[in-house]
Amino acid sequence: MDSDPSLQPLVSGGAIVRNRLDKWFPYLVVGPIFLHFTLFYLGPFLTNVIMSFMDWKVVGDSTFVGLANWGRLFRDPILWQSLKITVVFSLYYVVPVIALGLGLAMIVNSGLRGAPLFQAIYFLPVVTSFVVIAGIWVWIFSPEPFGLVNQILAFFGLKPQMFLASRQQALGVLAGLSIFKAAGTAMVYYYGGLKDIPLELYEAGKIDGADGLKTFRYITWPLLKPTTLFVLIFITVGSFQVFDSIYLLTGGGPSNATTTIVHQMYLHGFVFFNLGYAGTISIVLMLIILVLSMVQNVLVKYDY
Amino acid sequence: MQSRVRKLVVYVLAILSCVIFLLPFLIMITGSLQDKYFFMGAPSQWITQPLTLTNFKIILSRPHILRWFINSAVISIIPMITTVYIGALLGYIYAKKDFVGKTVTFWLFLSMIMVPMQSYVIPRYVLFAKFNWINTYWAFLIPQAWDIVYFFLLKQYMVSIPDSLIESAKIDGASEMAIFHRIILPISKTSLAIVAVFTFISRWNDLFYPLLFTTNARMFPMTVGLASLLTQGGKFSFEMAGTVINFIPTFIVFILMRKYFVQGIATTGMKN
Amino acid sequence: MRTRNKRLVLMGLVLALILGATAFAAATELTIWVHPFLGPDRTDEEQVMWDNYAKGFTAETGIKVDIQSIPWANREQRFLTAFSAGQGPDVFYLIPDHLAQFADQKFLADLNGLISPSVLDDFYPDVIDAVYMGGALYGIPILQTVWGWYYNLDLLKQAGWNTNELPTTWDELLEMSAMVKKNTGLYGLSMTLANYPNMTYFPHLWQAGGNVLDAKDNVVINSPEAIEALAFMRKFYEEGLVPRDSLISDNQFGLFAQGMIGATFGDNLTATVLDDEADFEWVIGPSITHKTSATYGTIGSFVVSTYSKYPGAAAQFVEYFIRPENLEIFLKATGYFAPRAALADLWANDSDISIMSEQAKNVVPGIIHPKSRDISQLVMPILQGVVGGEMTPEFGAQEMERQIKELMGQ
Repeated sequence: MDSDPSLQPLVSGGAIVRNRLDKWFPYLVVGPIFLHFTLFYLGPFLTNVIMSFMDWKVVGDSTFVGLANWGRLFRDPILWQSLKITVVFSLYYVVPVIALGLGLAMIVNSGLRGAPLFQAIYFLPVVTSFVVIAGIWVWIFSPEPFGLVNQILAFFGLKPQMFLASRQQALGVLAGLSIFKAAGTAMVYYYGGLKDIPLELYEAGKIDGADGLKTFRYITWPLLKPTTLFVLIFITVGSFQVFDSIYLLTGGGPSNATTTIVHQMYLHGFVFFNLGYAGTISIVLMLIILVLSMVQNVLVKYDY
Repeated sequence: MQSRVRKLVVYVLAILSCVIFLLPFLIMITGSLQDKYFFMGAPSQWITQPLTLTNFKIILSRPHILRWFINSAVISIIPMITTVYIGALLGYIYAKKDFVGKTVTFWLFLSMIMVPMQSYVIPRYVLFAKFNWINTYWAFLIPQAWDIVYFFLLKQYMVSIPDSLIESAKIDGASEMAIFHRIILPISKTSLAIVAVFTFISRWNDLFYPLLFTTNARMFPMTVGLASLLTQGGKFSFEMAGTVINFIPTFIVFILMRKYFVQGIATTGMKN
Repeated sequence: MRTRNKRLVLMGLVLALILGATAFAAATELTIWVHPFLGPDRTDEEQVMWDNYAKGFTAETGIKVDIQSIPWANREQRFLTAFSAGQGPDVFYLIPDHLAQFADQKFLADLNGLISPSVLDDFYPDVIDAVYMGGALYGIPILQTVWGWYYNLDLLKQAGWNTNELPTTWDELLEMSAMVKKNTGLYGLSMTLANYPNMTYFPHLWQAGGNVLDAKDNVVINSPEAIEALAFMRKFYEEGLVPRDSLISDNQFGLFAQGMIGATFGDNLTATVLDDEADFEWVIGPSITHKTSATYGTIGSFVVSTYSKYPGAAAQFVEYFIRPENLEIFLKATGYFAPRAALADLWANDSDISIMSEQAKNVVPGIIHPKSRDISQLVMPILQGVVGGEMTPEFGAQEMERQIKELMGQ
C-alpha cells in the first residue's frame, strides 16, 4: 500500500467489521439525534400546533375550537401590522448588518497595526448583555436635545429628532440597535471567509491592473458568497425573531408602530394567557421562514 | 502615494468605528464604578459621583455568588463542547453522506430554527417537571446539547472539504469515526472555534430560559442571580456592575479562541 | 491546553455536574416566593428579615418554610410555566391586575374556608374589594402604595410659582407646567405612556368622574368624562409641557431627579430614591381634584396556589405574616403603607410621606377584572395615538370602547 504515510496510524485490525458498521454510521448518529430533536424541538412545536386548535386552559379542561384561532388571526389587524413591521425591520436590518460586518472584517484584515485590538473592540457589543446596550442606546438616541445624536445633529444645524418616540423613526432606531449588537458576529464570519481567499489571487489581480474597487468586485465578493449565504440566513432568521429591543424600549409603541410578530406572540401567550392563539402565531412564524429558507436555497442553486 | 492615503482613510475609519463601538462599554464601566440610580446620556453626566467599588463589593459578597458562577460555567461550557462535537458530527454526515431520510430530516431541522424560544418553554417545562429536571442542570444540558443553527453552519463549511481527502483515508481502511476525528475536525478548527465562542456567549448571557427553569436561588446562573437582587425600579450602577462581572468570562473566551480565527474557515489545514 | 489540564477541567466539570444534578431535595414543607423589596445595598437586611419570619413561624407552628426571593422580571411567565406543570410555590405575591387574571385562570385557592374571617376585620374596604372576586377570597393584602405628585420646589420657585400653594386642580397643573416651560425651558409634568394606564390615564379618567367598566363590568370608557381626560393629557403633550419621549417612556424618574421636570407622578418608594439622588428640595403635593380626588395605588397581596399541597398551612403562614406586630416590620423596612387600620399610624411621624397616607382613602387600585391586563394593553396604543395627536380624543375614546367591547365579548 503506497498510501500517504501520515495516514498510516488509521489502519488497524478489524477493518472489515468496521466497514460494515460504517454503512450504518449515518443512521447511528442521526437516529438518536433525531429522537432528541423530536423530544425537545419538534414535540414542543407540535404541542403548539395542537394548542392552536384549542382554547387552551392551563388549569382545567381545554375545549376544541377548530379553526376559531385561525379565523381570529386572519381578522386581527394588529397581527398583520406586526407582520408588516417585522418585514420592514428586516429590510432596515439585514443588508446594513451584513455590510457593516464585512466592512469591519476588511478593516481588521487590512494588516493595520492594532488590528487584533480593533477586532476585540468591534466584538464587545456581541459579548455585552443586550439589556445594557439597549439601555445605553435609548439615551444615545434620546429625543431630548441633550441626547448624544441630537447634539451631533445640532452641530450640523439640524433640529432634535424624536427617534423612538416617532412612528416613522422608531423602527429605524431599533434596527440600528440590532445592527450595532450583531455587527461583530457578522464580522467574525466574514473575517474567516476573507482569510480563505488566497493571497496569490490578489497579487494576480494587481498585476492585471485591478484597483481596490475592482479587486473587491471580481475577487473578494464572489469568493465570499458561501459566507454571505450563511450569514444571510442566520441574520434573516434573527431579524424575524426580533423581540427583546421592542419589549425593552418601546413596548410596541408608539401606537403599535414597532410591535413585531414575536412581540405579539409573547403578549398573547404570556400576558393574556391565550396560549391557543399564541400557538397559532408561532406556526405562522415557522411557515414564513420555512418558505424564505426554501427561496434562499433555490437562489443559491442558481447562483452556483 | 495613493496607498498611503488609502491607509490613512482605513485608519480613520477604524478609529472612528472603535470609538462608536467602545461607547456603551465606557458607559458601562463608568456607571459601574459609581452608585447611581439613573443614567443620563450626555458624556458630561457620565461621572457625577466619586468613583467607588461599592456595587462590586455587594455583588461579590452575596452568599450564593460562587454557586451562581459555577452554575453559569456548567451550563455554558458543557453545551459549548457538546454543541461543537455533535454539530460537527452531524454537519459532516449531512455534508458528505447520503442516507434514507436525509432531505426530510434536514428540512425538519431547518424548519425548527425559526420557532422562537417562547414557543418551547411551556411544553418543555411540563416535560421536565415529569422528569424532575427542574432546578437541575439536566434542564439545560440535555435539550441544549446541540444547536440547529450551528449544525447548519458546520455543514455548509464541510461541504467544501475535498472528497479526495476522505476517499484516500477510506482506501487505507480508516473507520468513519477515525476519519471524523483525524481529518474532519482538525481541518475545521476555525468554524469549530466560531461555534464554540458563540455557543458559550449565548449560554452565558441567557436570562429568560434559566429564569423559568430554576426556582431555587442556589441553582441560578449569574444572569438570574443578578436579576434577583434588583428591586422593581432597579439601580443603574448596580446593574452595570453586574454586567461588567458577567461580561469578563465571555470576553476571555473570545480572546482565547481568537487564535483559531486567524486561519480561513474552509481552508484551515489545507495549506500544506 | 495540555492534556493534564484538560483532564482536570473535565473532572471539575463532572464534579460540579454531580453536585448540581442531585438537586435540592431539601424537604421543606412550604415554599414561599417573594421578590426583592429592598435595594441591592440592603439585601442582607432583607435576608435577615425573611429568615426571622420563617423562624418565628416554624417556632410557633412547627411547619417549615422556605422563603425564596425571585426576580421581579418576567415573574408572570414563571408562574405560568410552573403552573402548567402543576408545580410552583405554595404562597406568592400578586398585584390586583395579576390577581384577577390568575383567579380567573384558576391558579389561586379560595381562602374563604382557610382563614378565620375576623382576621380581615380592620382591613380597609377598598383594599378588601381588590382581593374578592365572585364571593371568593383570593388574596390577603400585605401592602398598599399611593401614587401622588412629587414637586421639584427649587424648579417651581425658579419658574415663579408660589410653592406654598401647590396645584390641586387640573387647571393649576396646566398653569404650573406652562410657567415652568416658559420661564425655565424645562418640563412641567412627567408622562410615561409606555407604562400601564393605571399610572397615566386612569387617574385623570377617575378624577373626571369616568371609568373603564362600571359596577356590572359594562364598558363605559366612551364618555364625555373620558374625552375630557384625554383632551387634558393631549394638551400637555401638544404644548411641549412633558418630556419628548413621553409616548414611549415608562420611567422618567431619572429626568425628574436631574431637575428637568416640575412634577412627577410617583409612589411612596420614589421618596427613597429621591432622598439619594435629588439635590434639590422636593415635596409630595396634595391630591388633585377635578370631580373627584381619585388617584392610583397598588395593593400587594399574598396568594395561595391551587396546586399547593398544604393550603391550610399556607393560609396559616399568611395569617401569621399579617399580624400587626409582624406586618409592621415588613412595612417599616420596605416603606409601604399598611392595608389595615391597626397600623394606620405607621408613618405618622414621617413628614415626607405622611401626606400620602392621607391620600390613601382616594386610591382606586385599578380595574379589578380578569381581563384588566388585556384592557391596559389595548388602551396604551390608543392613548399614545390620542396624546401624540394622531387621533382626536373623541375617536380615541370610541376606539377604546370598540376594542374593549370586542375583547369582553359585549
